[in-house]
Formats: sequence, C-alpha cells, structure tokens
Amino acid sequence: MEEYLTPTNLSRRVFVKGVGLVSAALLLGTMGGCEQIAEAIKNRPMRRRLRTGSPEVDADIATYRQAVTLMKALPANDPRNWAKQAAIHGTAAAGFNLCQHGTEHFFSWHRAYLFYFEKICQKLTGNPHFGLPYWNWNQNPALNPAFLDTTSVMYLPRNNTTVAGFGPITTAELAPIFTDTNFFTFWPQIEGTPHNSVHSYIGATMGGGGSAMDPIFWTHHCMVDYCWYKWNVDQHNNNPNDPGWNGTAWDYFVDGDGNTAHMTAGITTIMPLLSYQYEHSNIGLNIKQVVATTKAEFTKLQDRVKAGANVKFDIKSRVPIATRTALSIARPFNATPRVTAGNFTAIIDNDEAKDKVFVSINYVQLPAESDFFVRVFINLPDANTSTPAEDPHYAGSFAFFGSTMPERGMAMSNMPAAHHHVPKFLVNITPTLQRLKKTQELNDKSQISVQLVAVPFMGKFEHPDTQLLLDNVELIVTPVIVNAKEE
Amino acid sequence: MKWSKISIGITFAAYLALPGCCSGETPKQHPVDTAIKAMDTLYTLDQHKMEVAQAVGPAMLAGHKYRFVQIEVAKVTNPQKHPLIFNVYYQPLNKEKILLGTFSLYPADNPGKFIVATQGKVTSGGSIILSMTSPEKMKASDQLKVVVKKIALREK
Repeated sequence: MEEYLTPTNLSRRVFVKGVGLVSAALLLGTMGGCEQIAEAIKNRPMRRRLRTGSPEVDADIATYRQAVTLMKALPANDPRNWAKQAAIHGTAAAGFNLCQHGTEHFFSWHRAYLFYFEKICQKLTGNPHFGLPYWNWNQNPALNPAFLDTTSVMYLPRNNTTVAGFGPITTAELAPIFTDTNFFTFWPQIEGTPHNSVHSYIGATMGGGGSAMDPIFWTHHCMVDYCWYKWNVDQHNNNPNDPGWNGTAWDYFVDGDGNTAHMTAGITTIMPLLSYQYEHSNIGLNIKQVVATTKAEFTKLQDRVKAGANVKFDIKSRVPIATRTALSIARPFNATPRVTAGNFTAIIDNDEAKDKVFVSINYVQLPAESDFFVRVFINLPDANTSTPAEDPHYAGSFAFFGSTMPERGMAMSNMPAAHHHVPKFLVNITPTLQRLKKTQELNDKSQISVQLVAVPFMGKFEHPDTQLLLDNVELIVTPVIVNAKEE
Repeated sequence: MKWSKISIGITFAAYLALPGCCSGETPKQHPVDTAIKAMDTLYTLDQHKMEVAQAVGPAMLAGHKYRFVQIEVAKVTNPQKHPLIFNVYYQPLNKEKILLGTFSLYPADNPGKFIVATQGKVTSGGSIILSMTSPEKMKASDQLKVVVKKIALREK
C-alpha cells in the first residue's frame, strides 16, 4: 500500500552502508527523492468540509462509514478496534483517560489522536487517499444527514442535531478569538468556547467522557484541528518554541497496522504540511488561505511552523546544578542544587506570576546517536525509562531530532549567532513545582532535585554506552517574552 | 432549541426590569455582590441563582489593558449531567449589557479555568455578569451546584 509521508518518517534515522545513520529526509534528497517527496506532499489526503451536494464529500463519508464498520468488527483486543480507539480519549463510565484537556497540549494531543485514527481508517478501507472530513459548525451547523440515519453505524442518539443559532459557534463569538495572536490564550478560548460547547450541546454520548464513541466526535475534532491550522498557517501565528512543549511525547497511539507509534507535540505542528491538508472554508470571517506553490514557499512555511514563536528570555537568577559532566544514557542523571522550593515561593504560589522556573541544559556537543529523547523529572530520584510522562513529577522532555544539526526552534534559545551549533534545552518546571506543592509533596523547606532520564524511541538503545557530555545544567528564573508574530 | 424554564424566567424578568429596552430609559444595572472582597471569594450558582455579577471599578481599570475575563469553576455538583453553558457579559454603568463570550463545561461536571476576550470593551466602571444556562429542562429535584472563584481580569 502506498505509504504517505509522516513527519516521523522524515525525522527517523536510517542506516546507510558506508555512511552511517542519516535522516530519512536527507537520504531521500540525496538519492533523488526530492521530487517524490514533493509529489507526495502535494497529493497528500484532503480533509473536506462536511456538506451535501459534493460527490467528493459523499465519497469521503462512504469511506468513513466503511471504516467505522470495519473498526467495530475488529476483535476487542485489537488496538484499532472502535471502542479501543475511543477509550484512549475516555469512557462514559470512567471519564477522561489520556486526552489532554485544559492543558497547552489540547491542540497537539488531539491532532496526534486524529492523525493515527485517520491512518487506521486508511489502512482498513484500503484507501490511502482518505482524509477525515471536518464539521465546520460555523458554516454548516446542522449535522450531515449521514449521521442522522438511525440504521447507520454513524448514528447515535444525541440531544441536538444542529447547533444553528448557538452562540459559541457564531461568527460573533469566533471572530474575536481568531484575532488573538498568542498561542497560550488562543487554545483555551477554542477549547472552552466552540469545542466544549458543541460537545455539551450535542450532548448524550458526545457530552461525556466516552464522546469518541460517537462518529461525529472525530469530525468535530477535525474542525477544532482546522481552527488551529487556520490560526497557525493561514493567519501566520506561531506555536510555542519551548523545547519542553515540542518534546512532549506520547507513545500509546497505534498506526494503521496496530503497531505502537511514537509522537511528539513538535512533530504535530508540521503534520498538516506533510501528511494531510484542509479544503479551505471560512471560520467566521474570511481568512485568506496560505498555499505554497513552489518548493521555496513550502520550505519557508515549514521553517516558520517548525521554528515557532520568537521568544526572549530575561534571566533573573541562576542556580547551578552540574558543570562539565559526562552521563551515560543508560543511567539517569540525578542532582540536587543548593536551593529549596522556598526560593521560588513567589512563582510557585502564584498562577499568574510572570517569571517561570526552568531547567536549562547545555550540551557540549550533540550525541553521536539520537535514538532517544530525554525526560526531565523533579524530585523523583528513582525515575527511570519506565517512569511515564503521566507521573506528577514529570516536567517535560526534549530530543535531538533527525540530522546531525539540531532542528531550529528545538535548541536554539538564546544562542549567539556566531556560536558553534551546540544543543541547549529549556524545560519549564514551574507547573510541576506547583503540582507537587498542591499535593503537599513539596513545601518551602523541600530541596529540589532534578532527574534527566534518556528514553529510547524504539524500546531499547542502539548504543547504550552513548555518553552525553553536559556543559552545564542549571535552574534559571526568567519571564518568557513571546513575540508571536513572524518578523 | 430547548431552554430551561428557569433560564427563560430570569431572562424575561430581566427584560421587564430593563425599561431601557422599550421606553428609552436608562437600563437598570444588574445588582452586584457587594460582599466581594478577598481573592478567595467563592460564588455559588444553582437552579435558584443562575447569575452572579461582580463590580468592576474605574480605579481597577486605570492603567491596565485587560484582555481577558477569567472564570475559574472550582467545583461542580451535577449528577444529572445537565449541559451547562455560561455567558459572560459586561454591563457598563447605566448601559445595556454586552455579551463578551460563552464557554461550557465538558463533561458537564468538569471544573476548569476559562477565559473570554474583553475585546477592548471593559474600559469603564460597571460589572461583569456570569450567567449559567442549560438547553435541557431541569427538574426542581435535580441537584445542581456550581462554585466559581472570584472573577478575574487578565492582561495576558
């Protein structure tokens, strides 16, 4: 079956005899694959707006219906089974499960969730061109008739079958939200206003923790994803370039074959440029669609999306943790700086504090192998490769992607232009400190310890004797000044 | 669209209480909770009290450009899982209230922190009004209690 490009394909390293490990993107480019890549990107699946009277949309609905039927027919223990996929998000009985709500990964997590769901649909139906249709509730507030046929797998009882006239999806309420240029205030408004309200108003299954059991859920979240895409790409706004945000990883999704897949928030930002595309429609006001027609335009767009917001730091204080240390990736790093939580009380106890506490990690050079990412924990001396990201001590993660040079936006904070390319990472530990204080694991007299744990992408390290040469690790206190617009 | 009878009742009563709607007279200011003082003030909304208003004084606004109204729903008791939708209004003194935005709880018993944009409209003294509603009919015996922290204004 034809395999569409995924961002993980391009960043994966492959072994080439006589050359060693190189990124897949570099390999394809070197071997004359650029045209193939360009063609695949140009013809990537189209996610269309649900509506009547379009043969293409009707065909997408038919494929989706078939996919739902096939997913429901899979054995209960197949991770691609309909109920299994829905349970990743949550269940009616137990509420939310792994989904990100009320967090800055609301967009990225759901994008990854949709992406793999779409891959499963493509695989089961044998249609690699299938793009999940989106329900533009602003333009087409009534549910498509395909979801109203009580004899269809697409049907479930709902409290309302149209959101026509409902405030949160009207232009009057959506247009002001789309004027916000700051990622950190844009996502909560999209989540709280149209996203939550549509869930709530449609109600029944859609209104609870098991909402993903309703086939309309996926088209609703496709629309939420389109909101993010439109804001980021068409409106030229930028996502965070915090390596901690970019490096946040999830390793419980499965691909079309049911194999575990690894995804990070950073990779999700370029998915709509490489792996699928949106049929243009208005959300409230008419926002001009950005279309890259040349390779140069595409490269510029991709670079901007990957780079994220221009962020400035104004470091107010530093607390050294370690200097010039060599670590083995097979053994977690653990250090306790001479500082207590009381030193950061003004930040920890105030949700609105402008200053944040970061762990700053500077490497002397990139590791020879980058088949792993690094998780940062606070006050968990026993943290190891099995400690999940859901642990309350988890603060963030980062990785050394793909090529021998670090990706822009992943490691280039505060780097002088003339400096040799060495990786530097910042992980915001403020939410973790706040969380630990609220659960009383941390008080003002508690010491703060930092753990760095290397976790292999593919389950085991290719070279467990790889050494990470740290230049210095420190805690820094700084406000984050985000200049969200491109210059 | 189904609306709870209580919501209709309050809305109708408010309409009658706003003579400005019909006769050109000054709109009646929504009564505010004058007991607001501390940052940890909590409001309770239920079937009998679906709205709360918090005063915004000129002194508080001076020198600030507040971009958002923040509502933190601290606790929800809603065993019947009625969908709960919240409208956030701003009413300048002696003027009609303006809808700033709407948010909902999802699921219907899930607390959270929400923001709606001021859109540059909160510039003079008045009050922020939080109004709870549901498209579902509620029985008088249904339990419903929503605890909200003091409404905050945010610059970013």
